[in-house]
This record gives sequence, C-alpha cells and structure tokens, in this order.
Amino acid sequence: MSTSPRLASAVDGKSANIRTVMRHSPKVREAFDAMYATLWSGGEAPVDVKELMRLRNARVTDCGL
Amino acid sequence: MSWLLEGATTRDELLGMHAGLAAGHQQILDTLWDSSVDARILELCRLRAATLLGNTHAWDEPRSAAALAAGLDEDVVQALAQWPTDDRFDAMTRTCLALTEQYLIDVHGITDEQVGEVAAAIGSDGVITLTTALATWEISHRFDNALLSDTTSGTTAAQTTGAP
Repeated sequence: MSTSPRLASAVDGKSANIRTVMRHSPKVREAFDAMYATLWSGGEAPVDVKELMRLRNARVTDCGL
Repeated sequence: MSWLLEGATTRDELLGMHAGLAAGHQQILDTLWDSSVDARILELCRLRAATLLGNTHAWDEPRSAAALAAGLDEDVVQALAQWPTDDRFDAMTRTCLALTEQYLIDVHGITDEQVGEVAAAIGSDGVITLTTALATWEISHRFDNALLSDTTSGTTAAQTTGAP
C-alpha cells in the first residue's frame, strides 16, 4: 500500500501530503471538504459511532493513512 | 423503490431526506462536471464504475448534461465495455478508464507509473478531479445498491447486471 503522495505539493514550500496535493484542484477540494463536514456535523448518528464507522471502513479498505 | 422512503425511486429523492447532505453532494457534482477534465471522459468513467459495482440505476438515469453538451456519443457509451480495443476511445480516455478500473477492482494496485500517465494526460489537477470523482461515484453507486431496489423485480441493484 502506498502512503506517499504520487503528486507533488501544489503549495510552494510545503511538503506533499493529502492537503497540499489536493490543492491542485482547489474548487474540488473545497466542495469535498464541505460535504465531509456535513457528514460529521449533521444527521442522527452520534459522532463516536461515525468515527467507528470511518475506522472500520479504513480497515476494510486497508487504508494506511 | 426504496426501503427508506415509500414511493422513492431515485437517489435524489432519498438524499432529499437530508437537505444539507443533498446540497453538499450536488455542490461536489457541479464542481466535478465544471472542472478541467473533459465531461465526456468523466461520464464514461462514471458509467464504467457503475457497471463494475453492479449499479444499473446509474445507467437508467439521464446522462450527464455536461457530457452531452460536450458531445457525448451514445453509441460510444454503448461500446464502453470494449474500451480497450474500440478505436473510438482515444488514448486520454483509455488512460482514465484504466485508472477507473484499477481504482475499483484493486486500488492498492495503482502504481506511480499509472498515476504519472494520467497526470501526463490530464494534468495534476485532473488527477485530483478524477480520483475525487471516482470516490464520489463509488459512494453514489454503493448508495444506490444499498438503498434502491429494482422497480420491476424487487431485487437490489447489486443483484442485477446487464449494463455495458
């Protein structure tokens, strides 16, 4: 599994990571962040349950990040 | 039909149960379709992902308006399963479709070289757009499979195939 960015940082002076790489497409990043924030802030499910779901999903998909 | 909302037959009707999420979902779709990546390619990748995940709803709903405006050819859409050999799929489209398939079948099998090829074809911004689009559509397809069932047979979308 790769945990190293395959694209260069889009932010001068910053190393490549998920945030600086996604700045290559800032509008997409902003829209993604907005939806992600809604997932965490809205709805009926408690945040701790959402975090367990996120971690379980990461385990199932073998996400090293 | 859906188990969640009586009479609902579409993803949008179900997402409408959560207005904030529906708005966020629509915003990211609008951003993707308005991006630098050719909307025809994005639509082909979206439909290929639908086939691989067994989501027939995505094939039944209208094609992307942005892709149609860009000149999407329905004959090419119907030939999608033959993309590796059909010469109506150009090199850029094939590069993106190859990443789409690898992403869905074995995401850990994606290589530096493959990402480099996609970046050479559509730019680094295109890579971010395409991979975010794939993530968004994977969510949509799985959402459909989980929450919408076939209107004629009562089976879930995951139990039906037949899309090209």
